[in-house]
Amino acid sequence: MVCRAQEAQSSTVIARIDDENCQKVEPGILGNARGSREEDQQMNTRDLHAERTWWPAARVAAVGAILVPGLALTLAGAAWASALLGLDLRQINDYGLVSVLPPAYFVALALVTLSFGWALNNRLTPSWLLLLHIVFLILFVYGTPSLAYDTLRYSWAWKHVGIVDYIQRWGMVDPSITSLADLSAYHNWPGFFALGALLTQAGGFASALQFAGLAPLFFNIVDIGPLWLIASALVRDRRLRWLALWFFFLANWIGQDYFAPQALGYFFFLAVIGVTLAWFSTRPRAAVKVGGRWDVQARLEAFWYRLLGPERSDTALAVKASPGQRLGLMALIVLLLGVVASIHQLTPFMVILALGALAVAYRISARTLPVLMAVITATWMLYMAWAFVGGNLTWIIHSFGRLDRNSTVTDLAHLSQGQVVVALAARGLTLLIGVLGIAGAVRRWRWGQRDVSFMFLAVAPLPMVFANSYSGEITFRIYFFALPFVAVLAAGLLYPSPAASGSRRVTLALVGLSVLLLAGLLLAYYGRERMNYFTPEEVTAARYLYNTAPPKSLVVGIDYDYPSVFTNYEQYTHVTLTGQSITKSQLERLRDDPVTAVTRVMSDPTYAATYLIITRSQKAHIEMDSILPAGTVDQIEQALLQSDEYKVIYQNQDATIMTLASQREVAR
Amino acid sequence: MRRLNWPAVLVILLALIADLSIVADFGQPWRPLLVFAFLVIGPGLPLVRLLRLSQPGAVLTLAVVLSLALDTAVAEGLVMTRLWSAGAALAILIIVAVAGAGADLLASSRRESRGLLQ
Repeated sequence: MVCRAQEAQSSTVIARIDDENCQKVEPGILGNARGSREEDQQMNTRDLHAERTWWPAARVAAVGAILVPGLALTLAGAAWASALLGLDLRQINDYGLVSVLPPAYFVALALVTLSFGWALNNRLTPSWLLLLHIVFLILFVYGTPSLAYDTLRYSWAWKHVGIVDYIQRWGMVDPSITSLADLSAYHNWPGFFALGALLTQAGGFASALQFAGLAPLFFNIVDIGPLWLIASALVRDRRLRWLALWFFFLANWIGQDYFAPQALGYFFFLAVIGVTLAWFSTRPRAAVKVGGRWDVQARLEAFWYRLLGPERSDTALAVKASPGQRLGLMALIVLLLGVVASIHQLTPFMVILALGALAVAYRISARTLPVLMAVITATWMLYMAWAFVGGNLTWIIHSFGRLDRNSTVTDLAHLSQGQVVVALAARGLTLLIGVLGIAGAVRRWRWGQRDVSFMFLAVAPLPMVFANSYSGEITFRIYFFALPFVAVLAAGLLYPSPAASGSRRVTLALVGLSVLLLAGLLLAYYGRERMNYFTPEEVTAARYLYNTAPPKSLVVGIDYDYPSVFTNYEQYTHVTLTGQSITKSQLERLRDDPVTAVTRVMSDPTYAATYLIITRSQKAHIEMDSILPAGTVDQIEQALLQSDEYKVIYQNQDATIMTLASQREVAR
Repeated sequence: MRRLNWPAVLVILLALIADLSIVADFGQPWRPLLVFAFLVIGPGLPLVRLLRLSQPGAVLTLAVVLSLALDTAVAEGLVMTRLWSAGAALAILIIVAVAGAGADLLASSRRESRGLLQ
């Protein structure tokens, strides 16, 4: 009864109620998804009955469907806000931010999870309310560091601010720049940083530091749109769509949402795939006429049809668009391909692989898109980014095909106890969402729903493991680019078809799985916060350093993990005493005879001045990754402080800056 | 009576207010709020509306996507050609937005005229 009443409120085009369980199913992107003619007739027949069954009780249920989740979200928001007020960030230990989060925070997450589970299975819940649950989840998980920290989180974000600062001052980039070679790639793919400079200057800021902290919140919020587009393109059951988004944000622990080009590149990647799936999807047809030996497309289509047979799906594929619309949408895709190729090194290859997988599987009509993207990417690399590519060609070629080196994972034996738990949580979360994805795909298949596009997209990034190690991060990035599609497949485990009921058991399973994923996410996403968080004192020390050090100075860090490089970066040379290029014997020398070891680096006469900075976050990183035994950096610091060869020029409770005692006062 | 094309009008207003916030230096938080709001939605919305997609969620999503893509392309183009100026980048994007909104207004007006004639 309630179901029919609801149906009466919706036009048959905008929303439909499934026959068996009254589940609302939504049309495709353009609102003109087509079911079978019989289905439409049934809908119309039921519409005639609907008005007679619109009782007050149904109205109460409809109001309750808004009020109950609304109340839960209000309470959750209040609990989360109160949790933020009492955070003692200095107490973060090796288990990450969870070690200081108060019970109110977990109450907030519990409320939003329970409410989402209830609302998703309630056919009367409006879609905007489901969206609000996703937004609250993002706010609670990804927004907490952004809003609770009074400084910019993560050392690489500071370095990215440094590139924006360079563009602000010089009005250009220098692809051949030699200062801090690690950052030279940014001068060859400068799109994100140019955008950062635009936001900074047009927004009236002195530095991107003033807004960069909000990047995780911003990127996760805007990612909702393309993710929704992807899920909506091929899935009509709205429960599955929203659960796919929910699972995505419960499993996105990789942390590539900070102020970085990859976050913007990922957004565009999602958009390219979303638009392609929504408006350029196709599927193999039954009668294919192979035009000859070289008619590859027809052969491909015939192959897939023979393999999969006539496919059923719970949605109308490839929302029909007029030629003008298709032209406009294709122009948008081409623009996005160009922008992606110019802002990040890795993302273009992920786009090529994803579009290539769709083309090979005969899932898109625009099958030359991967070729176009390959041409655009090659053009950019050969003409605009050759300064970087040419200079790094040797190791790029050497790492090609080195599966053993590219697919390395962190050795747990080298981590602190808390970090072992964090690493295991990340692996467990990855495994869980992967298993859910496989199980969901199998279950959907058994229900006759063949999510071939999502399956191909989920495995599309895998070949990258043969191509490059990406500084040891390639396995994480593969997971990151597969996740949107794995999440849709995982959601299919609970909702294999629009006809599948949303029983209480399904709700319980949804909440249970969400709790498991959340537990993994909180440990994995927040697990490095002891080193990612910088205290205001550390930032003050870093600002003092760059305000004091004259151009052509050497800045020595005991480790790279401190607020650095964010201003005038090309004027300095930055080195670390424990970086990746440092050998084991050098580390031993540093531990055994710190004064001699540090002085050897600091006394280089080619620099105008040399500075050593030791901060709390550096010590945290060195301990967490067991680069040196716990307490060693304190011993090194004490040895230097007691040595006559060094003098302290700045000190607070979290940072010390020293120079050689023999160094003359130099004015900046 | 003709219906007002609110999205196009709003984009034009947003573009003007964003520009005004810089010229008159509204200060924080108004200036960044207005400028960011324009940059996130302004350049793309009128162009996406020209496609006449019927699903509002898709229109909004593509508007943000196109806006950020245009912002990035314009800013990057100026940096790569060593013509960088935040003011010039913003001016180009405002022109794109206002021209797009104008085209959208024209298109909707023509559609209405055709509808009235029929």
